[in-house]
Amino acid sequence: MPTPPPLAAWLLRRLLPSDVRYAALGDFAEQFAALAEAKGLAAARRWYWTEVGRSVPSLFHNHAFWRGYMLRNYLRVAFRTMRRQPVFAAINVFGMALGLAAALLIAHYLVREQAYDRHHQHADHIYRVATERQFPDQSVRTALSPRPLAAALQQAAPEVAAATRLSNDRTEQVLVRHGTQQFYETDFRFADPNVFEVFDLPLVQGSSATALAEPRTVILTEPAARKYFGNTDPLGQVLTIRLRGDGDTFDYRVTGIAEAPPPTSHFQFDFLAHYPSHPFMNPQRADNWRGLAAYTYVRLHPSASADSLTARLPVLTETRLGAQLEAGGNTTMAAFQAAGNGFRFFLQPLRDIHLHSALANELGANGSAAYVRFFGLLAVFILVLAGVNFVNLSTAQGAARAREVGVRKALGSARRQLVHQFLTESVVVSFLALGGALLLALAALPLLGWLTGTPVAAAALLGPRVLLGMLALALGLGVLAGAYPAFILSRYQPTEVFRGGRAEQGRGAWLRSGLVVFQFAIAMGLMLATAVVYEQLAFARTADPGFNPEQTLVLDGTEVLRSQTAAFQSALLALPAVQAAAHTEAVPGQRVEASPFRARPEAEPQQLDRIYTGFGLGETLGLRLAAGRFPDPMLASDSMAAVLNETAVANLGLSDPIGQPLTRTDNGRTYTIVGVVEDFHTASFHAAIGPTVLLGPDPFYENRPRQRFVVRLQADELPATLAALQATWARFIPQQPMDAHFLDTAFAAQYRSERTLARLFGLFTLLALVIAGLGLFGLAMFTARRRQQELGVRKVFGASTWQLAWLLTHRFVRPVALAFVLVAPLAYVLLTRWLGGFAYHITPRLGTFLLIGCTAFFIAALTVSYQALSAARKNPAETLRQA
Amino acid sequence: MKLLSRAEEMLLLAVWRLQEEAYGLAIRDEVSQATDYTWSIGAVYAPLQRLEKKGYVTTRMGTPVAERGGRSKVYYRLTPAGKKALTRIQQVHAYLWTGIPALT
Repeated sequence: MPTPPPLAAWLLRRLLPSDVRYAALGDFAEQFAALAEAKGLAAARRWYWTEVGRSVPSLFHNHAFWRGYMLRNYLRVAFRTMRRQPVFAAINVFGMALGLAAALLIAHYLVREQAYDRHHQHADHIYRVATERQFPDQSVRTALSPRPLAAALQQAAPEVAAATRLSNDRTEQVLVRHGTQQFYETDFRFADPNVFEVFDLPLVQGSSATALAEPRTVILTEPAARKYFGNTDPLGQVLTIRLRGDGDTFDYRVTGIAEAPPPTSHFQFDFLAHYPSHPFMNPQRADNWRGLAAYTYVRLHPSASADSLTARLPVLTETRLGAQLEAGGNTTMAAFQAAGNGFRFFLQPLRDIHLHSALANELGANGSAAYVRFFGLLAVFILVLAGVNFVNLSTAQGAARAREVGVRKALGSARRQLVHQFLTESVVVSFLALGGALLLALAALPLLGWLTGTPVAAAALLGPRVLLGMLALALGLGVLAGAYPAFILSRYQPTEVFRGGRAEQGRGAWLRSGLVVFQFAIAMGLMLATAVVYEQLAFARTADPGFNPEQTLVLDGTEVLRSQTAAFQSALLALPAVQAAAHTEAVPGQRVEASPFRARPEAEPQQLDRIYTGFGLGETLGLRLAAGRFPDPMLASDSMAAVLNETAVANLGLSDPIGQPLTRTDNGRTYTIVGVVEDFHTASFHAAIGPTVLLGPDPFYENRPRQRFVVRLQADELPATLAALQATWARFIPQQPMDAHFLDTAFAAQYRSERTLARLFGLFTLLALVIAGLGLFGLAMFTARRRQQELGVRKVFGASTWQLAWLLTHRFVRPVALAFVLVAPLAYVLLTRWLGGFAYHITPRLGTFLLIGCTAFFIAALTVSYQALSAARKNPAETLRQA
Repeated sequence: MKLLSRAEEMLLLAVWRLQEEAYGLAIRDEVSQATDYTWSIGAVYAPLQRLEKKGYVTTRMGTPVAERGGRSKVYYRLTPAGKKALTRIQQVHAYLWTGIPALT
């Protein structure tokens, strides 16, 4: 027996009015069977579908009419109920509005974090080639790769459609000049001419085929072009550029204007210059497989797999790098690898870079998948908190509404209709809340911008997709929160209700207490997290970093001084406000490079973070000597001095380091250890202090590309001091503006993401607390009202106001205490794990936990006791008369 | 009493014409043949339900049929009120169509 297509039959069943469903389905089936016999099954199926399709409009119309009619009724009742209990309605709507607003803001953050780099047409086929550099004693994973890698991939890997490079070579502080306009630029990068074949970088002017095609050309973003050229046509204009290094300048011709990259791009730029003609490039550097200097990106053919390219990478390394090693004559690939060295290249999908890549030398600060997950969870929690309020208040009112349910059932309501009625009520609440949430979120935008440090546009927040999502979310929240009350309330039987014997009050009391426990557990968990994050940040801010970052100014870009360096130092020291001044390759908070060193000829070389410096750095930074002395300009022998930190001494295995020689093994220069300093932080508290060596004024260092001056100032008269410094600077380096910043600000900037986290935590904690408190307030109010007469009777028999207040209060504060007991251990474990991400961290203190617990407890007690007290103080003569 | 709509009139007439054989499919065939246009099933059942609610037709069950997925046929029959409604609309038609100038 052929049966009609199930989907079509199901559709028909859904659409047919119940009264004729039976007859019509039978008729359809009969006709279907007859047709199948006469013309075949396929024709019959076609007919069935056609008939269903043709019936849809009229049936649907019929359907919608009745549905609409009932809906209007449901809505009317919902609004009446809300008007009857305006305070509960307000608590429900406001609580949900807070929850939805929080969810909206978090959703915005999540959507944005996940949208990174999707704007490139080929985003799914683009990969970055990153490097794991293995040394005998450690390995470093970096986003950088050798300069010749891209060309080799393009040539030797059939999977690769295009390979291109971006580079930050000497671009950390670029001076760009056009006429009288001159600025330091931080977002200056180099790119290969074929960068357009991999990335979508839309040009406003110029064409991607010719822009960057010739040496010494540059493209600018629109804002950058406006900055230098105003309204004149920038194409063909010349920019004079000075890179980090010597004072030489180079002329670059503008060949294109690009749109500014969207904020959701993992690399930002204001300038992109032709990379192969980089002023510091030479054939040997360009072909150096051992240096990690460029960011290599590949676009694969749509059909090619990343795995097959990955499999190709080791071979490529061995042949190219091996050939170079042997040509250098020092070693062979086999010996290189046997010693524990190696280069392992791996592919990172472009779209994963922002959230999943945490390598050294990233092109910008990346996001964190863990935080995305965490905030997603947080949004769910806050929504649940808001939903819980609705459940609690609705079921608490069960007794009051039992009579309504009884009457409706007696008059012929089906249970299903009552369920619809109650669901409509919760959905109405959630939709009203949605309106409120949108307003709240809009109002909170500036706050969010301040919290996260990135301004958020209202348009981005309220895009059509987000709005649709919020609509769905509000509907879902309404249905989920309404489901349990609808189930409970629609169960009342008219006979029981009217007989009046039922003690509805007890119903769901356990669940309500449980939900209150849950709400406060979440709120307290968030409070604990906030407190610990703040404590850790305070620790990072106030703990001794091993040097004195205060009153210390960093003057950047002084490498152009060259032979004038010593004279500049003397001039600075001659200023009355300057206590000390020294030049150095890097200051704490900046990236420091490592080189291999050994103290004894037979020892294995150790990687030490090295900082080339002049005389006086230790004194200027306020480093503390553990042994020996700082290099002394009066001693001729100190021109090749080294100062180690304690970790370096331990790593090198030296028992009596003073006076020992220290050899940098990759260039053979030998220094004499004159002092040992206590460990000091060169990076944030995330990282353990590494072995560090300060290398005294080495003539070799005179040609270092990076140099800045550190200047310790007297505490007073800052503007005058700055003016004096400015004048000195202008005397020595008239061709470039002074670039000065305070060391403590720069050092504190390392904790920016933690600070943002702490602020966001604070905000959402507050929200969770307010929502939970609202719910408790509503419940307490309801209970106080319901037990008004009982209280009156007790009072008449001599109970004191305080006894009555406690009677009402204790039932509510117990769940809060229980919540604390439940959440504290969990919070302890999770927070300890978070703190484990810092090499130097606090241990969560019992005192903090107790303080938070007490705070939450008192907030809850206050919320409840306000209601309890006002109920207990009422005159029994009034409350009892109503009965 | 409200007048029947044109569709209701045709459906009631079909039920009356088919007498003991008046069930959904037959009714549909009848009105489709008369109007030279295949009525969608929805266009048949929704008005039939309305007519039943107004009390112009009643239904009765036949015996279960295998081709119908084991369901019975549902037969429709005119009630006195249904007949009265038909008579009334016939009178209206008769009055309207009588004594008018030729249309062609």
